Amino acid sequence: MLLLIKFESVSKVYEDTNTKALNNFSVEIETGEFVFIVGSSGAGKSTLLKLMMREEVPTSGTININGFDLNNIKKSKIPYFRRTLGIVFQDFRLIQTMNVYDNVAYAMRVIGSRENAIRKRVPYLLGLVGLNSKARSKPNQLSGGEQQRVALARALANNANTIIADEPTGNVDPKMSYEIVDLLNHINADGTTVIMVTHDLHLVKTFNHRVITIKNGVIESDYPDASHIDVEPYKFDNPEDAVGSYFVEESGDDLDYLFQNYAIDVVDDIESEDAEVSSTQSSEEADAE
Amino acid sequence: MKGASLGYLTREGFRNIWVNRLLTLATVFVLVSCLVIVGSGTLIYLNITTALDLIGAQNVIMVFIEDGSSQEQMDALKTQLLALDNVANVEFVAKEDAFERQKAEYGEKAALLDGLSADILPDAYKVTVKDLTAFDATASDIKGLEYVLQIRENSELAGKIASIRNAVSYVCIGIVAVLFFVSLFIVSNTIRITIFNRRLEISIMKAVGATNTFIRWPFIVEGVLLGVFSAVIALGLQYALYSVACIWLSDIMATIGGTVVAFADYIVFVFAIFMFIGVFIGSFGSVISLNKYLKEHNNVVEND
Repeated sequence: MLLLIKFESVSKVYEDTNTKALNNFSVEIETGEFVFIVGSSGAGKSTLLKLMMREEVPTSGTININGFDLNNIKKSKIPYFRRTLGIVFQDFRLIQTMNVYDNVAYAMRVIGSRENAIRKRVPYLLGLVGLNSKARSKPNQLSGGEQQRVALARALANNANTIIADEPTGNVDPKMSYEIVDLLNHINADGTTVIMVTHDLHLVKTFNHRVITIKNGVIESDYPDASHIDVEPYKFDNPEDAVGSYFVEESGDDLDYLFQNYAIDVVDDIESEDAEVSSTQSSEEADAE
Repeated sequence: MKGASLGYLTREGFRNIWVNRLLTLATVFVLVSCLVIVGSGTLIYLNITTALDLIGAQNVIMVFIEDGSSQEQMDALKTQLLALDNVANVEFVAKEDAFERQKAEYGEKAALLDGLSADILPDAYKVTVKDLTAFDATASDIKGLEYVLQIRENSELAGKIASIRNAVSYVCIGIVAVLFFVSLFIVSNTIRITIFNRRLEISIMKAVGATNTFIRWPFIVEGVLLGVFSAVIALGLQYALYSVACIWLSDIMATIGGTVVAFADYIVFVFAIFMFIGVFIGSFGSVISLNKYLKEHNNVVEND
């Protein structure tokens, strides 16, 4: 497995409040892993995500993500680094004036994707999250779970190799939480690395992936699975109906088949477009400076 | 930036105007107000300078010709007068005409001139100067010419008119400059509210990897469009206001024998000023506000 994320002795002190959010924090995450990050409020989870998104820089230590040295990355390169990540927020952050289709397409449009690539990719993503029939709906016409699925589709829009989910189930009920994490699980099975911050230990127990517990800015524990967590996993009366049924219904196809076949065509489109984008990148970088 | 992106971002600029129509209206209102004040200042300036030109044109140098000068000599003097740089016009005033005018001015006391003939007056040239600030120098040049008996001029009045014109120019330029910066400040702050209102979109753009150029472009398009809309609206409003103002302005101008400046004569000039100021303030105001916002709000993970 390739090393994807590496935090080495990272400390972060907010000078204005003199708060030490992370203290000598070191972690390595490999490509294709699914990692739960748990911890109480104020443990340092948000700071960790901010450092990952290069919203903050560490006070000391080094961070390397997707081959980008975040300590020394040029300001103009930050947008290109962020394109390798997809982020999902607890509060969905959908644009209320845009419909579902445009919310997902927005992520592609703002990085300069062509309309024909968008027309192929967005229906595929909406099929993946089971929302093709809601493409023309506005976010306020959707349930919390549906909104989070739109946000997930948007995070996947630019073919990011890592999904960072910041408490994605915080605003939805347990059943919908299950569905969302199950979807992340499928995405992870396809090779995408998933890092999910959560408070919901039942979910962590249910999906049984690597669990990193943060306390007072340091790693309290790092287990390869959730066997040490002493809570009951989620159980639904009919989990087969609850989990993943929506996308199979809509696409009329098996999800794995979708990942393995249709996705490849779209990825090819995106990659050929990326090559085109890189030729214009240097001029955009100059502007971004 | 690729053509497809440019097209999309331009469409976004249009869409944003409609989606944020309340703030758009506020920005246009501020911009139109500033443009109308600038336009009013410009039209007042044009009318004042026209009035000053009129007064200035009445301030002539009377050049009296030596008695006994032949027609050739008088023609030679006229040629020399016209050759002077600052001379706009030379008009011959025959002594007979001058005598008749004098009698008319005397009115009831014209009888005092009975028994006198036009020969008591010399023939003259009425010389109009171009630039009143060079009035004294021109008068001095004329004095030095051949066949000139003497000249009569009012350099004090000429000086005053020149000073007034300069003062009006400086005041108008000053007012327009101050208004320009006030407009820029107000519009950039109004646009700042628009940007703040759309902080979610900006934070999403940053999270998915949009460059700052990409983030700026729709706001610049929006700023330019607001500038164009404001310029068009301001032109219509300016026309209506000026038509009303002309009712009392024409009375003032009539007292000095002039007429108000016609709006139609300056419509292209005024529109060009409005477009320049509107588009510049709209786009530059957007850039200033957005740069400031992007510098102050670096958030991606946390919602503002």
